[in-house]
Amino acid sequence: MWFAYDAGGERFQFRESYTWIPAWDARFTFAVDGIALVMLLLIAVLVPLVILASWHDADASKRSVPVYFALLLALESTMIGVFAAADVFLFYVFFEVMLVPMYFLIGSYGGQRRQYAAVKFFLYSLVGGLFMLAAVIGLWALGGHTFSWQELLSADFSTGTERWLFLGFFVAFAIKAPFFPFHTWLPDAGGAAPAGSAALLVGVLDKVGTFGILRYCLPLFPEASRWFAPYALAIALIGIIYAALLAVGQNDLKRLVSYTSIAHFGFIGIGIFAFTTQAGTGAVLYMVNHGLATGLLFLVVGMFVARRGSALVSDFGGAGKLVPLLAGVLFFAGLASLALPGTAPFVSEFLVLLGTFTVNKTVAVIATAGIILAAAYVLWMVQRTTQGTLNPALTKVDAMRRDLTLREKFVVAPLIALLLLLGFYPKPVTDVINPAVQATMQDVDKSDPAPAVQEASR
Amino acid sequence: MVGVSDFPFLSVLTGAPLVGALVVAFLPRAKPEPNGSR
Repeated sequence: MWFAYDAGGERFQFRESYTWIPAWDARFTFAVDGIALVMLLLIAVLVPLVILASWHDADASKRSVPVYFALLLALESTMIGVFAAADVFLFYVFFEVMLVPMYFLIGSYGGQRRQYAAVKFFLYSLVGGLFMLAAVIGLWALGGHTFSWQELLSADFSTGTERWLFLGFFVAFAIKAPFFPFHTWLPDAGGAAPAGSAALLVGVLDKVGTFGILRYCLPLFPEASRWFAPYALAIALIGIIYAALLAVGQNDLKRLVSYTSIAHFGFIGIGIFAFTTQAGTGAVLYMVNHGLATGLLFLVVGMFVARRGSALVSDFGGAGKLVPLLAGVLFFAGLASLALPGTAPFVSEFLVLLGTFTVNKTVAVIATAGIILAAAYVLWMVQRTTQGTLNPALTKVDAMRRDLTLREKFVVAPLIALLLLLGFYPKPVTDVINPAVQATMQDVDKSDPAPAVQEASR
Repeated sequence: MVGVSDFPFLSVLTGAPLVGALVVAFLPRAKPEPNGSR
């Protein structure tokens, strides 16, 4: 599909449409634009690696191993469906069904407090889903009795109605992403889920929130999007700083990575609501790169946790002396997560900040503080885990003497290669994203300020 | 949104993992030996 997709062609490609519920004009319509296509690519890369990395994850839980992998595959199916859907009702169905496999993955195969985390994840998402259901019904009733995304695009709502409908969708997506102040379920879910599931949860599943904003909130409710943008920018900024500060103080590796993700989602939010093509492209690229970087970080942290039997940073210390390769990969994943130049997240973060700076200097400057905090929490985590004096307790754990196995090398190598490749040459991905982002900016009736090249030449 | 795809790429892409999930979940597995050793 990646090769068959024509980046300069129609906005939506690979379209399929089948009759589903004629009375509601709900159709089984699939189609992808550049934004959905890169998300499908991310799923295609991450899921096989997660399955390979999770090969022995279910063994420790004493529950059915085949069911664990069946749940992972079912989750993959629903994630593809949610990105491929081009009918609002179909999207809503996939959005809700997606919760079921993840609920069981966390609740049945997770670590400590897994049931609390699974219920919290489910309830938060369900409440968000209810907001969206109300908005979906309102959209159908007031938008011409259809669920067709294309037809709803030309629906005419009053200002008040549009803002309420926008809010219904936005709350659901803000919980899913998650944005501050709807974020509290993620550290619990990410901390309790098996590492592979957590990588998919943060790497792909949460992107449904930001994808939904780009696909549904902005094009369907352009006036409300513009009206709400300052508030969205504010909660994104608070999320960046607040989550980064919480990450600095974390002693649990998986919760720490979860908090870093909330901060990263703040950057994506800024990129979306800055309403420039550069920032929008940066935000979508960030969705891909964050999936790769945080996916790698979660998987590597999972390898450490599986060996040590604990996720607490204080239970490690000097681990690099026992498992130098694994420690090296953790260091690389950390550097990618903090968006070091040469790694893929740098390109996306740079684009977001550059695109935002052209329209809102204050937001861009405050967001930059998040980069400094990111360096603090990542480097401090790596230092406390793998550097310094060797924790004597580690030498008593036999598994801690086993460095990366061949299976684990096959898991981390493609992610490292992609992070480096997209860090130096992101063009193949940005070429696909750009037309879709430009179309979204036109939907929301926003145009870029004077090109930066012209500004520079004056 | 015009132009219907000749091949249902997205249906196949969505459905294939689900089929895989059903196969993995319900595939008959070898039962443990009577003495309990696997």
